[in-house]
Amino acid sequence: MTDHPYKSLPSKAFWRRAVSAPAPVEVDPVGVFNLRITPETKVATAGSCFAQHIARHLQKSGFNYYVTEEGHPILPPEVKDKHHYGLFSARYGNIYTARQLIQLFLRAYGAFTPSEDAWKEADGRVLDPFRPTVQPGGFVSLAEMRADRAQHFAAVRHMLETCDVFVFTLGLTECWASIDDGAVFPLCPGVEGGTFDLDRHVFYNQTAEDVTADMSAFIEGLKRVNPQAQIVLTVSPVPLMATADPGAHVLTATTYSKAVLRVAAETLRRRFPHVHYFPSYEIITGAFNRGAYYGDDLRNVTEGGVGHVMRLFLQHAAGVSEGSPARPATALAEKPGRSALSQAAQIVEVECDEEALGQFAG
Amino acid sequence: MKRKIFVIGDSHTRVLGKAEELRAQSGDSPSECAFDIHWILTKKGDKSRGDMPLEEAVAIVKALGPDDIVVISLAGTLHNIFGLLRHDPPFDFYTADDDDVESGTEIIPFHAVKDLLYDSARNNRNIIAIKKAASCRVFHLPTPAPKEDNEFIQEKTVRYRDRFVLDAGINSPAIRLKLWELEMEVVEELCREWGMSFIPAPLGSQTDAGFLKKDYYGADATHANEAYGQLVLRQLEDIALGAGAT
Repeated sequence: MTDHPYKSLPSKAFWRRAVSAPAPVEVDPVGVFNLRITPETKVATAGSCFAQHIARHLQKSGFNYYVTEEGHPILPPEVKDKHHYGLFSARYGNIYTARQLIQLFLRAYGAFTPSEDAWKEADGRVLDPFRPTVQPGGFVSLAEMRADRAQHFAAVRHMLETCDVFVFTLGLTECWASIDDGAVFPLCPGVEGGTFDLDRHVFYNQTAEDVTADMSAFIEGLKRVNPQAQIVLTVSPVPLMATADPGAHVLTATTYSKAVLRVAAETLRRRFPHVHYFPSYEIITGAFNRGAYYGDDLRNVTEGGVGHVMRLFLQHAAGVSEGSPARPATALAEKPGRSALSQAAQIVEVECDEEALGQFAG
Repeated sequence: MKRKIFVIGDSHTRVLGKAEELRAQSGDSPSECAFDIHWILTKKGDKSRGDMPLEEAVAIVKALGPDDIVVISLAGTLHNIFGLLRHDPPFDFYTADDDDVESGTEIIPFHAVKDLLYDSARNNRNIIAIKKAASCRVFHLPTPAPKEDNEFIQEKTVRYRDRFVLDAGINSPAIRLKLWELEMEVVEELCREWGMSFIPAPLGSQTDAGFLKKDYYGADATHANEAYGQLVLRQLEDIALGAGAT
């Protein structure tokens, strides 16, 4: 028998030993992950809905979830929550695409000013096209929206320049853009505000090259303003609510989108030594859990799934196990006969603009 | 038979009581109405303020006849609690009609300020208990408009709610007025939820800008005087006798 490389590989390199044989709760698909955090490490978050789980669990576990746009101290926690302070590190709402992220960076530093500045609704509300749901009730005037935006950008800059770790969850490749200047919106204009206009708005589905280029621009930009910051990339396991790709089925569109994001994340991890990939996507979508980490809508992630992700994240990044992780065994055992109520209790609530697309499903 | 006007509230009821005393002394009290004005008793440690426990007020309200009225003065003080003194960082907010904000302040979105005022007031147990006990009409008074004169406030007030005025600094009159106006809007909305009517500030009590006229300044930062109390009593008589807006 000749020697060969597979003989010296660890168990995690083999499907049977690492995926099919272990109990679901024991599956740990973390590959190379060299990030280390302590309770003092300032960890900022941004991204799609799934990124909110990371923030929530970091806080719950006593880590330093870094928020630079907290809302004024006279506001009680309930009002801050309602107005989306603390949902992410700054009040940017969901950032689904890589293009949105680099756009936020450029806008915060004054390098890009989209021509579509504000949406004035028929009822008088003013919405920020780039975070249309962040302000319940909308802004009362253009002046208020611009002042809030200026404060927001200051908070974004402060966060980028002072965080130790920036965790970004890549969510989508599909986006709607302004034909005029290419500015992308988190939601298609007309869904939660604004007016859709074929002469002004265009659909675009990013390629792996697009995502890699946008993320590279962001990573290099962040390096300029904060040379020490580490970056963690994750891919959201939450499927698309709807696809606008002509002729596409939402399932294949989801597969395309997640594949592109996963390829880009891997490319970036290999390209930049301070960029790390954490496999939340694999933990939730992996066949080992037999679908137990999705709710009955096959889209929302259960608390058991989030618990598995965060337990492994904290184990690998901080060397600690979470206090009381929701164990997947519970989710598996309960799945067959779960009542609607217990199901609802297990699906973790997150603020997700993309949910608005569900209303058009009929 | 005289119609009873039962007024129950907080410290702002003091000037109504004094105004009624003055009218009684001068023989000006109307023959058609009988005022009964009280401040709900509250205790904090060894100290107590007010003159009537809630339970007693509720019992009185239950016994009122259909032509009597209950007047509450409990909500409407948050503009002072949150806005009389400057915070760290100082804040300001826009309204639909007003784009003037103070430079160097943190801007709180209008709807967040409104939610702060609304959420802080909506579950006022005293108001809800009194309304529940009433079978007659129930009204709610506004608090007096803010005083424009910051020097007056500074002169008259050393501490406000455990903060030293000189250390904190007094908020600009414009911010204080905006907060009061918004709070009165919120109280009016809440009155609709509570099933009672909101009485606007007495005519002639405010300057053109909306501040409390100096003629009606009480001796401290936030309260009005007996002359203001007289204006309110006349409003209440008009309402009780059917001449005032409800």
